[in-house]
Formats: sequence, structure tokens, C-alpha cells
Amino acid sequence: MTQTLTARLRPALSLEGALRSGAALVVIYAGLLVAFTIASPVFLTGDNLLNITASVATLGIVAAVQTAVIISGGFDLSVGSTAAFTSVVVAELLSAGAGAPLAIAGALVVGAVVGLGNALVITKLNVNPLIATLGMMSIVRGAGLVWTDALTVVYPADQLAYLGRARIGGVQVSIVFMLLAFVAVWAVLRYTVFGRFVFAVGGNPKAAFLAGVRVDRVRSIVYVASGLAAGLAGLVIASQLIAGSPQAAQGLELSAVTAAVLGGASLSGGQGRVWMTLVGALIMGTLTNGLVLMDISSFWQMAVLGVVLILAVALDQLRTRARH
Amino acid sequence: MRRHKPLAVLAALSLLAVACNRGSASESDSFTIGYAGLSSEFPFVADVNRGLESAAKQAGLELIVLDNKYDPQAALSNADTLVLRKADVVIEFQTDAQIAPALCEKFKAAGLGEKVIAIDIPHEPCAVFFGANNRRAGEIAGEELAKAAKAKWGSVDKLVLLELPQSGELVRSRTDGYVDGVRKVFPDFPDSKVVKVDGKGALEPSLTAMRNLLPTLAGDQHLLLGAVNDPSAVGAFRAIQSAGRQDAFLIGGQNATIEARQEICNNSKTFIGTVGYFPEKYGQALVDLARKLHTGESTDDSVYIEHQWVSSANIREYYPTC
Repeated sequence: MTQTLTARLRPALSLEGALRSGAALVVIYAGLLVAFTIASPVFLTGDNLLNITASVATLGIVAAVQTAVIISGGFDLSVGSTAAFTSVVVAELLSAGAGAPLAIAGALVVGAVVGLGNALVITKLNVNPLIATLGMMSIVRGAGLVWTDALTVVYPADQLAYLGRARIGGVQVSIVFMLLAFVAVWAVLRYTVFGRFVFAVGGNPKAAFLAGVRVDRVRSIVYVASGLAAGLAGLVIASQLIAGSPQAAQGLELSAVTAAVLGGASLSGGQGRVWMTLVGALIMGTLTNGLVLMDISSFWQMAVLGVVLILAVALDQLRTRARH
Repeated sequence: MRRHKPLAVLAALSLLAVACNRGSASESDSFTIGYAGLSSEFPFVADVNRGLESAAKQAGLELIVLDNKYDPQAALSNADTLVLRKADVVIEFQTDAQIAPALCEKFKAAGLGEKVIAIDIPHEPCAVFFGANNRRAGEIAGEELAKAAKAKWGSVDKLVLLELPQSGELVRSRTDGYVDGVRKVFPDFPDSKVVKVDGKGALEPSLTAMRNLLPTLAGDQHLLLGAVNDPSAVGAFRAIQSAGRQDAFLIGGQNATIEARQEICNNSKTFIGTVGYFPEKYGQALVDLARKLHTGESTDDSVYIEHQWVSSANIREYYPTC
């Protein structure tokens, strides 16, 4: 029994094993929690921990699906713009008296359409995902600005409160949405044939194609899912702000990629753990929160988040070396 | 008939002279304004742009509109374009004071050294400043918040300021103005009670920043919150609402943008007012100033717009439809 346990623990205790299993990231996160707890008396309180989790809710929603996109060998840099645009769709529909169900449906449909647009450009026109989604990022951001003339769109405050502002047992609903997104992506990747196809397409698309996997179809579904997630994030943003802002979610796409890569998704595709992406997102949220509580200048906060981005990519490289 | 010939020539010459005079008068009335705006992505700038376009159209002036895109290099390139397109008066709206001398050099070389208006950021040595009196605008809001706090609570525990530190000294003077205003009502208000946080001047980052800051304010019940602009103030307000701490705050913003106006129109007990800058009125004043510069009339070095505290008591005077 002891021998079996030791044998199971041994890989995780080595650097190589720690990098592979994601234990290193959990240890880093635990270290952060300890450091901030010592530095600030209000850090380790229930309310603050909920604040941290709520502050990464929109990031988490898009990062969960971004993990699947990266595992499939792609990127989706349009999620921030799409979230902002859908927040505008929601606000415009609500202010026009369309009602919450239509606003929710509108946001999700628009998100899915943007995702489908990405999918078509990538699979039918063979445009590199980085360029395709970068282009889409500009198109969607520009469309939002043109539509609203760069103005924030406000809507009646009693609408849609349950999405971003309400609480269930003291926990913000946005956190519940984020957790549902992670559970959904994890379940699909882990327990479905489609999930295995996503890994196969990202690991070696040619081999996957030769094995009978419909590569373009798999990629398309992943991008549509990413658009849907951005639409959901836009809904949460609109609910939290009681407004739609064409300039919201700036940098959300890079934060989502950082969280996924920090969590172990390989930039070369085929590898990734969705729950570690959640840890990655929490690390980013915790760093921002902790630095604010310590009254560290926002300029230093930017620098620290830059370090995290580099650390994420360096960890990816170390993992790749550990695998070979 | 021959006797009348010299008279006819004289009459023709007189008519020609009148026509020429008319031509020169119309040239001085009609001139070209070259305008390089900050970035049309910002609602405030969009209001300035619309106002300027409308005022120029009404005055029958040609207006060249370029976008500085919040980018100093774009501003330099746009300055070249305005010179190339032969603008008679230039209006610069860009926030990097460090490149002002370079811009001035370009305009001076093109003979426009005395015909430049700079919105909101001084462009020494060439431009007439036009725009906000940032320190005064902050002071107005700080004083109004402090007066409301005195009436409601009798004291203030802390003043929270949502800053935009990357925008430099001038905009920082706006948030510093809040402290001046609070001290007009509470003269001994110490620096140690001023909490500053970067809200990035936008809704969503301010919501996050305030959410992160709130745990440190758990023991305080009489709090004032001022922000560099309304989106930032409203973003912070959303975090405060989410935490159920509306009763502990009085909030004031800057710019009187739609987000803040909605709160004020709804008679919010927490978001009590904002300082109006009325960017939609910039256009006419800018055209008038440009005309003075074009005709060589003397002007003040700085032309400040008039700020007003906009609250539920007077908002319909300025925004009838609310």
C-alpha cells in the first residue's frame, strides 16, 4: 500500500512530474496566497476570496473554452471584442424593451456567429488562426464602436440583474456561470469522443485526418463554442455594468490565453488541462487583488502581469522539454 | 459716345475693384480648420467632434478631421497632413505634452505658429489652450461631496479617488482637486485619509479595482468617492452596489456622460452628482476662437470652459430629456 502510494507520488514530486501534473502551478498559487495573507490582514477573508473569484468570472468563462481552442492547435483573439460587442447587443435589446430572454438569446447567437465567422475563415480560407481572429477582433470592436458611436448603452437597472449581480447563498451568479463553463469544457474534453478529437487535431492534424477525424468540423465547433463563451461573458459584463460598453473587455483575449497557457495548455496544441486554466485565471486575479490591497502602484501591477505572461510561456517550454 | 468711353472704363474698373474686395472679404470669412482629434473611440471626444463639425458647417467653414488615435506618432503624422492640406488654423487634441514642441515646430515651419488651438493639454510654445480647468473641476466635485457628507453624516472617514495615473500631470490635477474641495468643507482633512486606486478611466477596470479595494474599507461607514471621469465613477458604483455598501458612500464623477446622468436622473442617493464639461458646446467656442486666430485678433493664452455641478436638483436644466 505504502509502496503503491510512493510510486504514485514519485512522478509528482520530481520537477518533471510537477510540471506535467500541474502541481507546480498549485504550489505557486499556494505560495501567493500565503504571501498576500501575511502582507494584508484583509486578504484571507471570505468576502475577498469571493471578490477575487468574481473578478475572474468573465475571464474564466472565455479561458475555459480558450483552453479547448489552444488544445485544438488554434487561438481565439476575438473573444474580448466579441464580449464587448455582445454586451452592447444586450443593452440595445433591453433598452428597446425586447426583454431578457431575447437579449440573452441575441448575445449568444451573435457570439456564435462571430465564432462561426472565425471558423469559416480558418477552415475554408486556410488563414492562420492568429491572423484570422486578430482580424475578427478588429472587425467586431470596430462594429461596436460604429454602432454605438463609442457611447456606453445603458438599460433599465431592473433587467438582467440575476446574471451578473445576483447571489446564490452569498456567491455571485457570475462565479456559478464560470464554474459551469469549466465543468462543461472539462466533461466534453474528458468524456466525449469529440473531446478526444480536439486533442488529436491539436496534436497532429494530419494524423487525425488520416485516422478519419473531420478536422475542419472539429475546429469549427471549437471556435463556435469560443464565440458562445464570449457571448456569455458579454452577458455577464452587461449585467454587472447595467450597460453595454463597446470598449469593455480590453485585453481579455490575452488574459485568456495567458490563463490557459499558465494552466498547461501547450501553444503547439494537443495538450492542456482545463482545471489548471482555472488556477491560472485565479493566479492572475489574485495577483491583481493582492497588489491593490498592498497599495502597490498600478504601473508595477502591469509589470508583474507581464512577468506572469513570460512565466506562462517559459513553463510551457519547460513542460515541452520534460515531455521529450 | 467716345466722350463717355473713359467713364465706362472707370466704371468697369470700379466694379472690378468692388468684386475684388468682395472676394477678399469672403476669403477672410471662409477658411479651413484642420482638426486632429484625440480618438473618436472616446464618447467625450465624439461629442467634441460632432459639435465642431456642426459649428463649422453652420459657419460655412471647411473642416479637415483626422484621428490622433491616442498615439503620439499618429499626432505627428497628422500634423504633417494638416500642413499638406493647407489648414489655415489647426486644432490639436492629443494628450502627450512631451511631443507638443515637435508639433509646434512643424506648425511654425508652415507659418501656422500663431494659429494653433490645443484642447485640454497645453502645447507650449505655439498654441492657445482651450478646455477643462481640471483642478477646478475636481475641486467643485470634492466640495459638493463634502457638503453632502457634512449634511448627511457630519464627518468623512475616507476619500477614495479613482485615478488615471498614466494620463499625466494635468488630469492628475483633477483628482488632486477633489482633495482641495473636501478641505474647503473639512479644512483638517489629512492626506492619510485619501485612498488612491487606478480605475483606468473606464467602467469595467474601475469595477474590478473597486471590488479589490472594498475589503480594505470594511470598517469605514462615511466614504466619499471621486473619479477621474464618469465611466470610472459608475464602474466603482457597480462594485459598491454589488457589495451592498451604497449607504456608506457618496459618489461624484466628472464629464456628465450618459452613464452618470442616468444615475442622477434616477435620484440615486449614492451617486449624487457629476461635473459637467459640456463637450457638445466645445464646437462653437472652438470655431469662434479659430476665427479670431485667423483674423489676427488678440486672444487669451488659455480659454477655459465653464464647469457646473450637475445633480438631481438641476440636471433637467442641462439635459431636459434626462
